[in-house]
Amino acid sequence: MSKVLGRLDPRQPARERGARLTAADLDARCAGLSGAVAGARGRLPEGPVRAAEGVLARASERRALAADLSVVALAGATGAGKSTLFNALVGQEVARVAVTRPTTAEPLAALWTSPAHAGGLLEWLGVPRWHVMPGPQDGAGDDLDGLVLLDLPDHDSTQLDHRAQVDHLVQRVDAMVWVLDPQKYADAVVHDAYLRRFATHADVTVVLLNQVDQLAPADAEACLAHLRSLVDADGLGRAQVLGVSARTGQGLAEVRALLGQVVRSRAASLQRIAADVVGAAAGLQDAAQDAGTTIRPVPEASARELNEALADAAGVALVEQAVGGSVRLRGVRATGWLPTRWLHHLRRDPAARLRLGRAGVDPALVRTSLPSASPVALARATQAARDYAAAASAGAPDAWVRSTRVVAVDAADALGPDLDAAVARAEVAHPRTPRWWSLAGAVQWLFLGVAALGALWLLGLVALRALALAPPEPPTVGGLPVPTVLLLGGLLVGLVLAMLAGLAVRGTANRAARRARARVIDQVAQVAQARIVEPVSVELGTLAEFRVGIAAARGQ
Amino acid sequence: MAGRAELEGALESLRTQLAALRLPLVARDAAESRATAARASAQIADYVLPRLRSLEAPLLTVVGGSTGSGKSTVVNSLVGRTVTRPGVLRPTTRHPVLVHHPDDLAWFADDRVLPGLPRITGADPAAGPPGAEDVLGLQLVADDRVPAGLALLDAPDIDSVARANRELAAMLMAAADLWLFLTTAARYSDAVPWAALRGAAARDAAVALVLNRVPAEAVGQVTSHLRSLLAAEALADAPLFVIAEAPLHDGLLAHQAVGPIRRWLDELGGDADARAAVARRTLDGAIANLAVEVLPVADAMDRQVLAAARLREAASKPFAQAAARLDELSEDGSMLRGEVLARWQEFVGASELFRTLETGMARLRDRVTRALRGEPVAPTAVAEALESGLARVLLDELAGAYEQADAAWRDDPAGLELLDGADLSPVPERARGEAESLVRAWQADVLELVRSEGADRRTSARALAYSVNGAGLALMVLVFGATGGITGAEVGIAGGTAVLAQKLLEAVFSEDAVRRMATTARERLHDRVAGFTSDHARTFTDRLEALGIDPAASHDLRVAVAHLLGAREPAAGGGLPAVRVGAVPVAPARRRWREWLRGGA
Repeated sequence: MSKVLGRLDPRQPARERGARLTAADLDARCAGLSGAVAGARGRLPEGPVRAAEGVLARASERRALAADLSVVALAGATGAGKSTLFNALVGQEVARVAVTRPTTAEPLAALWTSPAHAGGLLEWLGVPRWHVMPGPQDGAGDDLDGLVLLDLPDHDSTQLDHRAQVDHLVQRVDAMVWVLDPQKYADAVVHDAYLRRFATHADVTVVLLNQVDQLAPADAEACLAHLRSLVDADGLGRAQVLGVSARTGQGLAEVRALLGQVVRSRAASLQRIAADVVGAAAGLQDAAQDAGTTIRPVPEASARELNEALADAAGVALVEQAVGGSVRLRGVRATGWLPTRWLHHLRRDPAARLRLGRAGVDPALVRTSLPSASPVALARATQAARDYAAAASAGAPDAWVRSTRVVAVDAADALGPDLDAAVARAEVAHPRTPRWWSLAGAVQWLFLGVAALGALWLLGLVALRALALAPPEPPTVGGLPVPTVLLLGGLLVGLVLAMLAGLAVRGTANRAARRARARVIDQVAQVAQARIVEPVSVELGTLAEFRVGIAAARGQ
Repeated sequence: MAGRAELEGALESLRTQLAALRLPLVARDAAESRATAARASAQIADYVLPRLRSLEAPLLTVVGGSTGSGKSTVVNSLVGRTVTRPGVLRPTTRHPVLVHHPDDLAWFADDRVLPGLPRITGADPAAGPPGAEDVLGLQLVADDRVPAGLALLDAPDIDSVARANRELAAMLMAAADLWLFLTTAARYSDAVPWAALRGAAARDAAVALVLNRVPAEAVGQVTSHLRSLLAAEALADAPLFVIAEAPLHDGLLAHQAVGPIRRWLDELGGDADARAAVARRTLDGAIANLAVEVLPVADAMDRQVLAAARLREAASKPFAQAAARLDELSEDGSMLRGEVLARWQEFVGASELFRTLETGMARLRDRVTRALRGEPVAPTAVAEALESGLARVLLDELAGAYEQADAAWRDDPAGLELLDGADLSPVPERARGEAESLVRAWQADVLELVRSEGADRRTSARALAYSVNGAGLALMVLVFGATGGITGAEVGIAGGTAVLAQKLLEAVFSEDAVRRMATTARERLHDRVAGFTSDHARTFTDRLEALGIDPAASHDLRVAVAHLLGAREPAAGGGLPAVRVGAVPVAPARRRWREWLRGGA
C-alpha cells in the first residue's frame, strides 16, 4: 500500500518546495494586506473587506500566542474516524469512539507541551478539554514536541452546532487534516463548504482517506486517484492526499512523519496566516476587478479647463469689468476735463461696490459683494470637476473612478466661500496710480488757469467798458485778441488733452483688468489645487496603496 | 370523473405558472423560491399528473440515499443480477436505471412519467450506452424477479459532489410513489439525507428505510439510535430494514441479507389494493404539499414586486429632482445672471452711465422699442447665451441624477445585481445634443406663442411691426425673471430687466395675454425638461421593465393554489405493509398500519 501511496503522490516534497517563510516575510505580507484594506475600505464591497479585516485580526491574535506551538486539527465528516485516528496518534483511548453518530460533540486537544504554555492558545481556540502527553523523558512524544492536536466534531451531521464549532476552528488552527472515508469522500459539503474555500491553504492542508483497509487494494488505488482528482479540482493541487487506516495502523507512520515535519518547521502558524492573507488579498482583487492599468498624470488641458471654469464661477468676468471700470473712473477723475470732472464724482467706484479689497483689511476676513455665481457658471464648474476626475482616474478600476468623481464633485459643490475668498485675496482693487495722471491733472489745472486768466482779462475789459472807460486794446495774436485766445485756447487744449488722456486711461484700465483676471485665476488655481486636485490625487493614492498592498500580501 | 378533470386542470394551470415563473431580483428567499418552483413544476409533470391519470399504474419505487450507501448493490441484490453499476468511486450512479417486470414495460416505455428523461433500453445494462455519461436518460431493464406492479429506480446520490447528480436525484425522489431510502451506519445522522427525509414526512410520502453496512457488532445500538431519531421526525411508522456489513459475492449481497426487503416488496406488489392505496396517499400528500410549498413562492413574488418598486423609485427620484431643480432655477431669476444678462443689456443698449443716471422707465422703453425695431444688437446673442446656459445647467443636473441613481442601485443588493457589473453613472454622449435641441425647441415654442398670440388679436399689425424675435426674447426673459430673487449688485438690473420685459410686452399685448403667455412658456419648458429627464431615467428603469415582473402574477398563483386545494379529493389512506420478517424484530404490528391505512395518525 505504501508503494501505492508513493506513486499517487508525486507532490510529496510540497512542503519543502515553498520557500521558507520567516516572521519578517509574514510581517510584510500582513502590512501589505492592511494597506490594501485601508485602500479598499468604503470603495469595494463590504464582504471581502470584512473578510480581510478578520484575517488581520486573527493573525495578530494568533501571533501573540505561543508561536512555537503548531495547532493541527483533525476535521471531517461524522463517522470518518477522526476520533479513532486521534486515539491512534495519541497512543491511547482519549477520545470517545462509538458506533452511533455523531459521537464527538466538542473539540478535544492532545498537548505535546505543558498546559500552562498552551493555555492561552487553547482558550483562544475555544477548546475546553485537553489531554497532556507524557514528556519526552518518557520517550513517547519527542518527535512531536510542540504539537497541539485537535479532534474536531463533524461538519455534516444533523447537529448544526457541531458545524458552527468546526467553522470557528478551521479559521484558527495552523494546519488542517481532513479525514475522509471511502463512503463520504465525494460528499458535496466537504468539497464545496471547506476544501474549495481553503484553496490557498494547500501548504497547511492534508487530506486523508481513512478506512482504506475496507477496500480491496485495486479499489483503494482507484479511490485515492479519484479523491486526488477531486482535491485538485478544489484548487488544492499542492495538498497531500494519503490513504490510511486508523484501525489497522496502515499509513499512520506517514501521518506521524508529516506531523513531525510540521512541528519541527515551527512555521505552520506562519504558513497558515500567510495562506489566509493570500486568500483575503485574492478576494479583494476579485472585488476590485483591477486591470492594473497605470494611472497617467492628468493632462494639462483638464487642469486648465478646471481653473477657468472655477474662475468663471468665482465671477472673474465681473471682477474684470469692475476693476477696468474702477481704473477708468479714477483715471478720468484724475485726468479728465476739469469743467465736467464733477460729473464723474457722482458715480460710485464699481470695485468698491463689489467690496473688493478695502485698504487695511485682512483679505482673509473679507466677504466680497460679488453676486453668488449663476447656475450656469456653477454647472460649468461642477462639470469641469467631473471631467477632471474622469481624466485623472482614467484606467483605474470602476470603484475608484466612482470614488474619485464623488470626491471632485462634492468638493466643487462646496467651493463657493473658498472662491469668494480667493477673489478677495487676489488684491485686484488698488492698482498703482500711474505718475502721469498727476502730471496730466496738473496740466489740466494749468490750462484751466490759462483759460481763467483769459476770462478775467475779458471780464476786466467788460467792466472797464461798463464804466465807460476806454480800455486799452488787448494785444492780438494772429488777428485774435490774446484774452480770447487764452480763454478758448485754455478750454480747448484742456479738452483735447483730456480726451487724449482718456484714451491712455482706457489702455491702463484694460491692462489692469487683464492683470486682475490673471490674479484671480491664479488664486482660484490655488483653491482648485487645494480643494480638488489634491483630494483627487489623495483618492487615487489609495488605489496605489491598494495595489502595492495586494502585491505585498501575495508575496510578489 | 369531473373532479379529476378539474384537478388536472388546476394542476396544469399551476404547472404553467410555475414554469413561467422568474424571480430575477435579489430578495429574501428568491433563490429558494426559484428552486421550489422548478421542483414543484417538475414534480407535477413527472409525477403528479401521470399518477393522477393512471392510478392503476405500477408503483415507482425510488431507491435513494447518500453517496456510498450501497444503492446499486441493494438494487442488484434485490434483482439477483448486476443491472446497475456499483463501484467504489463516488458518485456511482450517473445514469439512473429503472428495473421493472416485463409485463409492465408499457407503463414506463412512453413518457408517461418523467417525460424529461429520454428512455434507453440498452441490451447490456452493465456497460451502458456510449456517451451515456454526459446525456441524461432513464435506462429501462426488464426482469421478472421484480414483482409486477412495482418498479425499482436506482437514483443518483442526493449529496453528490456533482451538482447535476444532486439535481437529478431530487427530481427522481420527487417523482416516487414509494421511497426506499438507504443510509449507513456511518451516515445515518448526516444533515443532507435528514433534510430529504423531513421533506418526505412533510408531504406524507410512503417511505421505507434501509440501514446498510452496519458492523455486525453494532447492529442493536445503531438501530435503536436511528429508530429514536425517526420517532423524533414523525417517521416512527416507516418500515426499517437493517443489512449488516458483509463481504459481497460477485458484487451482490447474500440472498438472506436482502430477503426481508424482497418479501416486503413482493407482498406490496401482490396486493393491488394496498398498492393503489399507497399510490393515492403519496399522490394526495404530494398535492397538499405542493400547496404548502408554493404559497411562499407567491410571497417571494410579492417581494419581487416590492423590490422592483423600490429600485424604480430609487432610479426615478434623482431624475425627477433634477427636473424640479430646473423649474426652481427658471422661476427664481438666477438663470438670468451672468452671460444672459450681459447680452440682454447690450441688446437694450443700457450703458453703465445710463444705468447710473437712470431717468425713468419712459426713456428706457424708448430705447428698447428702438432696439426692437431692428437696431444694433441682434436678439440672437441673447438667445444663444440663454440656450448654452440652460443646456449646460440641464446637463449638470442630469449628470448628478445619473450618479445618484447609480449609487442608489449600488447600495441595494438587488440593484447591484441588476447593474450586472455595468457602470451607469456616466452621462451618455447623446445627452449634450439632446439638451441643446431641447432648449432650441423651447425657444421655437416661445416664438410660435408670440406669433399666434399676435395673429389672434387686433394687435397683430402692431406686434408684427416689432420684431417677433425681440418680443419672444422679452417673453423668455420674463419667464426666467418673473419673481426676482437676484441678489447683490444685480438686483436692480435683473429685476428691472424682468419688469422692463413685462412693460415692453404689455405695450404690445394685453396684460392678461402677457401673463398667460408667460405661464404657457414656463409650462412648455417644464414639460420638455420633465420629458427629457424621465427619458434618461429609462436607462435604469428599462433594465427593470426588461425583467417583466408582473404585479398580478402572485395573485394568479394564489388563485391557482386555491383551485388546486378545492379540487383535491383527500385519500382514504394507504399504508405500507409492515416488515414481518426483518433483520431486526422491531416490526410495527400489522394492526397499526391497518389503522394508518384507514387514515389514522
